[in-house]
Amino acid sequence: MISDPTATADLEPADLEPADLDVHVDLGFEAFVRARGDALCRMAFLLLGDRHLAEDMTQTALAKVAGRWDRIVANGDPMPYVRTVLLRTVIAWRRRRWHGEIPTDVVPDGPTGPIDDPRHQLHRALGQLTARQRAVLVLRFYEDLSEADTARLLGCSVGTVKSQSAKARARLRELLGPDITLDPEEER
Amino acid sequence: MSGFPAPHDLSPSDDALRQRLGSLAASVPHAPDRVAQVTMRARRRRHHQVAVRSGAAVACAAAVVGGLLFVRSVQPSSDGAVGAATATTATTATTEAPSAAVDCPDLPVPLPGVAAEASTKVRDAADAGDAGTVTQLKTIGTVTAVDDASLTVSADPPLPDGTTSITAAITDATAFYDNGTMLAERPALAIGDRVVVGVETLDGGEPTLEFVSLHADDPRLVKVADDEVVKAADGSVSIHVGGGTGVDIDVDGTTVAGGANGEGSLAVKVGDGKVTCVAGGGVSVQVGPDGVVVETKG
Repeated sequence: MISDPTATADLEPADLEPADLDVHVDLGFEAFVRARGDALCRMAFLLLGDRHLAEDMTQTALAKVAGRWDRIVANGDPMPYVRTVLLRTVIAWRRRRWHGEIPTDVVPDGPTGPIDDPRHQLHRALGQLTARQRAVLVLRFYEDLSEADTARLLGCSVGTVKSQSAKARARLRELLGPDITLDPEEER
Repeated sequence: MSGFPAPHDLSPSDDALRQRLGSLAASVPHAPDRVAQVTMRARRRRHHQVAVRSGAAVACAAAVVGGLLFVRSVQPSSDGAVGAATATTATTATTEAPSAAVDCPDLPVPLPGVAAEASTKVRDAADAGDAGTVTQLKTIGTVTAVDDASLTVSADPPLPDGTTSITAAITDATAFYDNGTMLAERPALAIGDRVVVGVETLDGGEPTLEFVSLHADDPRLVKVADDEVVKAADGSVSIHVGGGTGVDIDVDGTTVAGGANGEGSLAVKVGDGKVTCVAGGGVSVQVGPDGVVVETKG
């Protein structure tokens, strides 16, 4: 099995193990949700910082694509399309005038464990980034999209992706220390 | 979307961030009921869309129907007597038996001396349940030829389009009337008979006779315009009667030839809404809400 389900998106079927291949062979909607639902939810979690909200956004996005699943599958791997729908759903949710959030300095949800857990620290640090910086980081370094694909998905220029990425990583360095990301020389 | 970047796009230091992001993402637990939840949401979403579309369709249909009804309500009726406001009319599309007063209630009765008395009416085939356009024609005239299968009538006066001779087929459905009474059998028709005929033509095909009414001149109702009638203070009504062999009643500038009265004014007296001729027998006048109706018996 491939550990990261999202990493199968652009692999050739020959690169996949049988269990992964089933996802491509059996392109039924339910099979897709079972195989890729967690990956989508994790992406949403990184974008939003809240597990329950991430699950809600994921289910909303999947429900949106369920009605036209046959057409989506007919165009090939559905994962990029669903990922785009999920991102748009998150953006649309953020743009809503009211979305039930209570302003706070501390991200209310996070991984359980000790406070000095690196995951916990990263979670808090991500919460202090802007929505666009966070999206750029998630798409570039979690979804492993290229700068061009990230720009296309976010509807901005490649230059914007680069600048937002640099700012985000600088901010993370500031919050977490220099070991989290590239040093300034490498970022250039 | 191409997905993966080229290997040189990311440096080794980016791996640290990627791994920490992956580690953080991995803290999200697996949701075993996601499939059921998503399926339920998708079903709800589909039902909602169907409901919205159905509502929109119903609203559109209601708007269209309402619009049509409104257009029909404001559209002036194209039925009725052609031209002169003097002829009595009844213009429902039917071939029922004519009433006693008017031979054929479905179409205006043509009256001699009244301009454009003959009438034609084109009705939509959907009204009749037929295919194509149905043209109905009703006129008065004289029989010029008759046989078992057809009847030729010389329209007098001519039809509005100038037609003077009409030949139509006699079918099993042709109804015959004599002085307003429906006949069980076809009467003997002879050349020179004065008749009112109703002719129907389907989509430019052969005209067929809907009905033939004998002695259609009698009785004859003429509606007289109010301004043609002089009403005296004592309730009497006078109508100008011209000279000649019959009653000549001046109706909206058109002289209607009628019975056998002498020249002069025809004086009638109103009695309980209905006036009776006091000079020149055979003529009665009825004052109704729409004007004065003169019935000539000549």
